[in-house]
Amino acid sequence: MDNAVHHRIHPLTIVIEAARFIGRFAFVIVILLVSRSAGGGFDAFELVLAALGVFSIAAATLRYMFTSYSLDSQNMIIRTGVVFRQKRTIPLARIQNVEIKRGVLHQMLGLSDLKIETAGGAEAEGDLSALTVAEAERLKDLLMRARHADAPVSSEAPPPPPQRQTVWIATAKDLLILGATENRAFVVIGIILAPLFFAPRISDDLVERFGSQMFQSVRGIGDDAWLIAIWATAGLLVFGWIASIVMTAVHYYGFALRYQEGQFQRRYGLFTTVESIVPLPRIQSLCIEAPLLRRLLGYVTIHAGLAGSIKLGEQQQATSALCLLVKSKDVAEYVRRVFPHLNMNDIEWLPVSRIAIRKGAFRFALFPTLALVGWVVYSGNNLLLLALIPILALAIWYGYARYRALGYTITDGFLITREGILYRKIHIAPHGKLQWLAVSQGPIQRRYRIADLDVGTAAVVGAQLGSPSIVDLELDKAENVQDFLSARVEASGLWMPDGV
Amino acid sequence: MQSALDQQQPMLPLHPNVRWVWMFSSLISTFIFGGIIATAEILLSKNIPEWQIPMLLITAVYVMIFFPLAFVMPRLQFERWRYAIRPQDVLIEYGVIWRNRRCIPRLRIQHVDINSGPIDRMLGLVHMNVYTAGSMGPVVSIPGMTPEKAESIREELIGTKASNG
Repeated sequence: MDNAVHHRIHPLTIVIEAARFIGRFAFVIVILLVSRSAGGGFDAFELVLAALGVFSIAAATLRYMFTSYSLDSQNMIIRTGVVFRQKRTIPLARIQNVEIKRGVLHQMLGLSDLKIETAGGAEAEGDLSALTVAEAERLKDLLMRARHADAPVSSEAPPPPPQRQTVWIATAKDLLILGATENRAFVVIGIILAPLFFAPRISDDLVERFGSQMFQSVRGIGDDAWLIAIWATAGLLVFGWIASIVMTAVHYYGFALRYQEGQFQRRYGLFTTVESIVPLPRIQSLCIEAPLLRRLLGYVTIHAGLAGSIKLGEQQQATSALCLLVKSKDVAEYVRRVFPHLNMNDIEWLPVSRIAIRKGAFRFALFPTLALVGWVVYSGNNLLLLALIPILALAIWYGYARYRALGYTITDGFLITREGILYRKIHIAPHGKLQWLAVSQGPIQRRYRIADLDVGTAAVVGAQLGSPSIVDLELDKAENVQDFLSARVEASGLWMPDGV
Repeated sequence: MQSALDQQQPMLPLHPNVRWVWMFSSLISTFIFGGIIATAEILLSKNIPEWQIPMLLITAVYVMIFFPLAFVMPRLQFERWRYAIRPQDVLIEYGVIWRNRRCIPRLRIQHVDINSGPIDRMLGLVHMNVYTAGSMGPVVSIPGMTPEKAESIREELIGTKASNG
């Protein structure tokens, strides 16, 4: 049965794999370098470096020699592993998305990294780390066509138009706004500050050399120290903000979303270019993300939850974004491209329980109040209790704002939920794609007979986007919705229209 | 909002022996963690004799809280635990402080596995895990079942799917 031709991946894989290996041990090299420059008396540095180089090249070569793939009309077969041989068979019908990724090294060598995702596990099922650009393109087309050929197009999909149409393209202004309104600034600050905390621990010598100078200069400032600290913080914030814009622009450079024959094609990236194909029926849910700043400027971002793209960390955002920046009023139009039967302009939001106000206010006020009371007891200054007034006022405002932000609706074929004051998210999940439903109650919710309803789809988007959930709904309503949706799922049939 | 199921479906309790499973496992974990804390304290306070008594108090408090809980909680948990194999889905209800009601529509069941740990085996019980696509772990896990019962439920769940798909 195994008469298909086995292809090797490109020989230059060795270079890329070796670079990856060395990258993994970069911290060892850095530590060795630091300890050497600090006069740690470690003489074998060159030896270690050479050993690492030889080892990584040898490992990469072995890996290359033992990796091969073949393709027949039903399956793609990938063999990997030096010690533990692995033969992975991926049925073409189960392929969820295909992605071509090109890092800087890939681009220099004229290679592509082909990733094949199925609905299963936590990582790309198939990862052919280096193919020639042409071969990767050929394989991608082949895989997607094979998947398409014997699969009936979902009833949800619009009649396939003959030509490729552009759905959304990022302009420089879009990327600027996107980066400026990203919730990423603090991460960047953390990255900048972290070395300052950890550097001294690497070598005592460094502390003596730089530390004493730093402390001296701080001491020299005297009373202005606070002012300097504030300026420094503000500076870091602005720097983090600019860095965030640059990072976003580099990451999403030239983002283009196109549509052709029932599938979306995405292409983006400046240094690392990514090209991925998303078949329309494989979209499990949509998430409309609107951080406060972006919302105030009248924009939102549309993400698609895809089965089989469970990647953690920064990559996550990359895999889920469908339209980076869309005018709020145009959302309905873009949503219709994915779910033709849904008109977002027509939906009527249903409110959750009004107890949500009380719960929100309570949750907001609890810790500041406890801290304040503790402070009053400790200092004996009763005037401090006046601070309770603004805290409680804020808490009540927060409770109302949170209540107004919460909402849900159940249309003919969709569950739509909304939450978040500062970071607003609207989740849209077709009934047919729901996998499980859970009603849960914490102690406070039990007291007031309210509950949360969470639903799961096969898509796993990042923790930031989360998944559809109705927060603080009356318990009996939540249970009714749960039973109703559960029965609807059963009625809407198999969740993958391509007959898995 | 109309509920589309027949409400007659009875919610079933777990096998009563599951209380012993829960009790034994929480006793074991109490003693293991208590032992670890005590050992750490003894090692830490070796050099500073004044710390010895306050530190051993931490262990004492830990054991005093968790030891009684090991006897009380299984009973409460058992009272709350209910499951039903309904025509359209598998439904479970559980939780003493945080309450949960979870369901998986039958068509979404990807696979069902039945497994039993050492304590389960001592008492002749198994637990049944139900998975959906894209879930990292089991979405529904029903403890305290007899092997025959679990086997028959699995047969029913997987069988239904095969005939409908």
